[in-house]
Amino acid sequence: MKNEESIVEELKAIAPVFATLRQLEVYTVPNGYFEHLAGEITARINKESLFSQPQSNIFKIPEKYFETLPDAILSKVKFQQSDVVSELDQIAPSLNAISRKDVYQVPSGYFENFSVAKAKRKTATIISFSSTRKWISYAAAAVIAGVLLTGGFLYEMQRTSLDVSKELNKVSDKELNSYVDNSGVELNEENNTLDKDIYIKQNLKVVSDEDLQQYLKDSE
Amino acid sequence: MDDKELLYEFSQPLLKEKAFTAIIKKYQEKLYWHIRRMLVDHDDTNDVLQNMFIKVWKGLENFREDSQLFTWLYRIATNECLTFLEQRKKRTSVGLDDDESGLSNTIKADEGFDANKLEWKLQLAIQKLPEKQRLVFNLRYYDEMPYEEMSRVLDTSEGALKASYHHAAKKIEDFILNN
Repeated sequence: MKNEESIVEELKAIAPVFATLRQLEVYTVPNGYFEHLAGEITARINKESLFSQPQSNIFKIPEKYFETLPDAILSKVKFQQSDVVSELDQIAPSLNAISRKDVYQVPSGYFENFSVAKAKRKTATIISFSSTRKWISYAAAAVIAGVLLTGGFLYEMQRTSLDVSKELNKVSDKELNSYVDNSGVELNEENNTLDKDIYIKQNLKVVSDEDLQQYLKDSE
Repeated sequence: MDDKELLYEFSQPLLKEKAFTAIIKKYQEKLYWHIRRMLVDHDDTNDVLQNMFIKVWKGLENFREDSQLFTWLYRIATNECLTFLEQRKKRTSVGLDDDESGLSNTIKADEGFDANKLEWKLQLAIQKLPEKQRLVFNLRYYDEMPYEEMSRVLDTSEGALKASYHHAAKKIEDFILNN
């Protein structure tokens, strides 16, 4: 107060008009300015301190992106140089411009949940109808082949076999005697008086059918 | 785990199932896409993939390792695909051309189908090819399989495969340029 009084006294001494105006305030202050001033100043200080720190990126990148980036770039470089690309450049260059990305969609979680549940189950033996038919057709072919072979064999046998007794009736006694003499069959002299027919028949029993057949053929 | 280790574990009774699961996890996606590009439909692909792995379960202990495991798996998957397509033809009494148009219709029915996109036109073109040519093209174009390995998968000479791929690529290019 003493100070203020001295100032007014001083001013009266200098400029008495000013001394009376000093106490009137002409500038206005926004309502509540001083109540919020401290908070605003503190917030500003904090803002300024964030900017001064290294900025964190707002954009997110895939995990381990930079660790895998060199390999990804290298594989693209290799792809461009790959045999497949250069080969296709020769054949159909426009196809190299098309993305090789698979266009078909896969249900979400498919690969994570994929399992082969059937692997452990014992599967029932399935007899394929077509394999049964195959065996039936093999059997049928075998039967037909057997019938044909057997028939052919029997026919051949019949054709070549001769009814010996029938053929013998066509041969004269003289021819038969001549055969017996020439075949080395010895006559028993004591049996000279025996019926020659009986004798011939008895001796013919030791002569084989093949020999007789051959004899008949030769005498034709 | 590499294939040798997987095969060894598969041969051990206590580890067999674990090894089998690991084999499925390792190769399921590649084999899935190989089959899917042939059959188009997901449900058909799932059936064939399951059947294929059942055969693997039954036959793996006899695998002689005279080829890569992956080649062997691919071979089974390919045969299963061809068998499936053959059986479907017999069931529906359709000729080859009708079967191709059936697959084309399946492609067009896919919810993601967009006739204006080149990738979808490519699929339509591929389904126009005969089955073997389709296989050759897919293996080379998508899987970048060397001809030597492809010859073991498809049991066809390398020369024949190269010629087949050449024809297939030309046909596809013509289809895309004219459609």
